[in-house]
Amino acid sequence: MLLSNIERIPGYRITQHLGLVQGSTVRAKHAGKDFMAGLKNLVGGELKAYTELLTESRDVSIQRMIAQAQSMGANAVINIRFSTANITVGASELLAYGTAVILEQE
Amino acid sequence: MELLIYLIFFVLLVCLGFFAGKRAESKHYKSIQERERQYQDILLFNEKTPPPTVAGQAFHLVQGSVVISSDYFKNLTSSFRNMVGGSMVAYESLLDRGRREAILRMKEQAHQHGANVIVNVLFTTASTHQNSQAGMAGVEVMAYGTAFHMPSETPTQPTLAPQHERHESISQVPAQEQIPQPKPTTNDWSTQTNEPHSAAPASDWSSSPKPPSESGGWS
Repeated sequence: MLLSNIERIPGYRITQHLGLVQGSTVRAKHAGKDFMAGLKNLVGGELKAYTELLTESRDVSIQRMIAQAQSMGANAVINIRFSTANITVGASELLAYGTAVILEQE
Repeated sequence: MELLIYLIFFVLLVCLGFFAGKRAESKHYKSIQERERQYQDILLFNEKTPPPTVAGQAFHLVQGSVVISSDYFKNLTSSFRNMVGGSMVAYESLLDRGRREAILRMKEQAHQHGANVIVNVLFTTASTHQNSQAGMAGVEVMAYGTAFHMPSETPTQPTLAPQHERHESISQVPAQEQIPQPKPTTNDWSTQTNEPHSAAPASDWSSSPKPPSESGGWS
């Protein structure tokens, strides 16, 4: 599966547009890690637990998007966008969406 | 008595935030600068259309994200600043660090794919965690784009490297004709810029002794 966040890729031709595909996850870290992140917040710096959490969940949402695109028979998703929204404290929704297409190398 | 304990605890936290936060920040900036130098040759563009020279090359979606938080001291000063308004310098540097770190992680990913150009770079910023009592708890900065491998022989590369090379080649040629000694120093200089270029003057230089001998033969 080819992924890109641009619309037209030089050297490739879009033979068919299959429509919008999306994947999303809502995830929260367990309380222990939340607590550790709270302590880390005193001294500042990167909150590794959260970085990890968000990276993992974004990967999951990309996988879901890819699965949807595959079920439509696409071989690429173009013009991908990401958005993040926090639902409650410590939990966020990660959304990935794009256009499923069939790409052909020229 | 209880108030005193609270006060001591509070002062301790502020001091901890101030010193540890400052140290962590300077350390982080140092590592950011170092890695920025390392990945200097990966170019970022935020335009949608990639250069036509990448036509047919493999492409990859690359992304980098980081959740970063400020320290207790900065949270406190920022909450004071919030009352009077104005620019919150503490958070500005926080987001600057976060964004540069995100770019670097994205570049790292591109480097793993062997790419040297990232087009359509987009940023998103989201606060992961709104903590009512302690201001900003964590902010996620993310950068993503499409990485290509651009073939190296391109006429327009908006980096500093070609300029350096030009200066070098201008200053090099006369120096080498006169005295052969500066060769090792110029080699040192050009090792990190471009290998084919450093090879070109060397071949010129090695061939330059020949013409005099030939011309000597003619005369």
